[in-house]
Amino acid sequence: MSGQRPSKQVEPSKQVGPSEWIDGMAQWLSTPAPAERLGLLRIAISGFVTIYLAATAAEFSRLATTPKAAFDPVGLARLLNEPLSSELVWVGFALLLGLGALATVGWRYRIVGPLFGLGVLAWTSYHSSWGQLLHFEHLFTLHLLVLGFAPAADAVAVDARRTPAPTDNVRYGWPVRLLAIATVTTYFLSGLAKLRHTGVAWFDPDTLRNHIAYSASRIDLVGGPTPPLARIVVDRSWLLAPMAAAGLAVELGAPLALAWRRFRNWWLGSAILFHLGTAATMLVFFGYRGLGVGLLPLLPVERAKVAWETRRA
Amino acid sequence: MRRERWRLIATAAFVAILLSPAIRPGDGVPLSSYPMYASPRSGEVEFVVAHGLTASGEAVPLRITVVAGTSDPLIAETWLRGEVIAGRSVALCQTVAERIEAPEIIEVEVRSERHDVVAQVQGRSSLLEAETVARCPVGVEPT
Repeated sequence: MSGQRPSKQVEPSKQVGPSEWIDGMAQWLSTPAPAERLGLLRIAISGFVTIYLAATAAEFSRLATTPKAAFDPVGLARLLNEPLSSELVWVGFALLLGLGALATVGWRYRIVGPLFGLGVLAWTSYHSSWGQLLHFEHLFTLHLLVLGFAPAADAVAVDARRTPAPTDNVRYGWPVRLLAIATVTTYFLSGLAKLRHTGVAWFDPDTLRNHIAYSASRIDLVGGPTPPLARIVVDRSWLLAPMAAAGLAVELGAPLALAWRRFRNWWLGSAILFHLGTAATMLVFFGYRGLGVGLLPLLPVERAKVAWETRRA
Repeated sequence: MRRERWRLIATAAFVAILLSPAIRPGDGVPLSSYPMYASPRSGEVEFVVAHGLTASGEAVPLRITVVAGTSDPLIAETWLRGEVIAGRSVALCQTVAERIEAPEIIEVEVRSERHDVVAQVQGRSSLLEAETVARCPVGVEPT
């Protein structure tokens, strides 16, 4: 028929059912990644934890001299009948620093990696065995356990110096996915806990106000610096409900950052702001996340290296 | 395809393990439900505090590292409260006293204080109730 545009063929609509969704998830988990990505994450995460351990040497000193009666073991520390002697605490400190340095540079990683991950698990269990769980240490412990049993030194590592650069492979991609899943799950659990324990009262301004006031008062009374924005926020109750909602959105929305790249970038920025906010109002700062290290598994970190090398060239 | 499915199953198990603290009681390391700041909190809170006393009875604030041997307020508060609850107030007082270097401080007092935390942050009078749980001299060998 001249003069008429051919009718557009309409394909039957393709419904995405559970089977297609499962296949999509399986493909996402099996996406190959460069060995360099996993190697750079090894360097960043192991390096951060090693520096953190060194910077918190005073904690080893404190626990080496804390009275035994205060020992309340959790995690791996339940294997102990009594606290470690001060000598063993310091031996453990030296071992962890050594393993951390070797893991960071990727030397004999097949042995060092698992040892460092398990060593940090032992330390964080012991560190939390004195009446207070130190949740800020949980995520990097999980990350090191995943990294420790992954081929994370096949690139950007001492172990990899004399071997040809490996091609992209799912054996590098899958551990990166697991690291990212661990990151977003910890945020999601935190948001879920707020809904479970507080419910809609979380959006009541008094809820967040009391949390901020409690943290600021604790610091002031125990002897420390005042959070810079605590009073400003407490004096302005109209700020509190939006802040509470925004914080909850960051936490519960974290898993969506795995699904869409653009949302991922927004979420990463929001998460950093969230941590800066808790630092400024409550002097609560989960450094591993707030400094971005714990968020790196969501990013193609090897591109930063490529960009740097391109700029230098 | 079979490896992909096994990878999916292993990942599902990993996620289930991570989420398990949300459905079982208690909290742990490294698996946790992250309950911090999840429960509503009263505006009146009890704290254990320690300060130095001069010969004239003047209260002198002490640095957190002197009080608790740490710069982390969370660890410090937990330790102080735990020692008092466990009945080790005197030992706590003596531990703090051992760290005192300022010559004008002759005694350490450990108190349990209840504060209106909002008033505290706003710079208003916040102390609602106080109880001395231990006093000990500085520079004396602990018993």
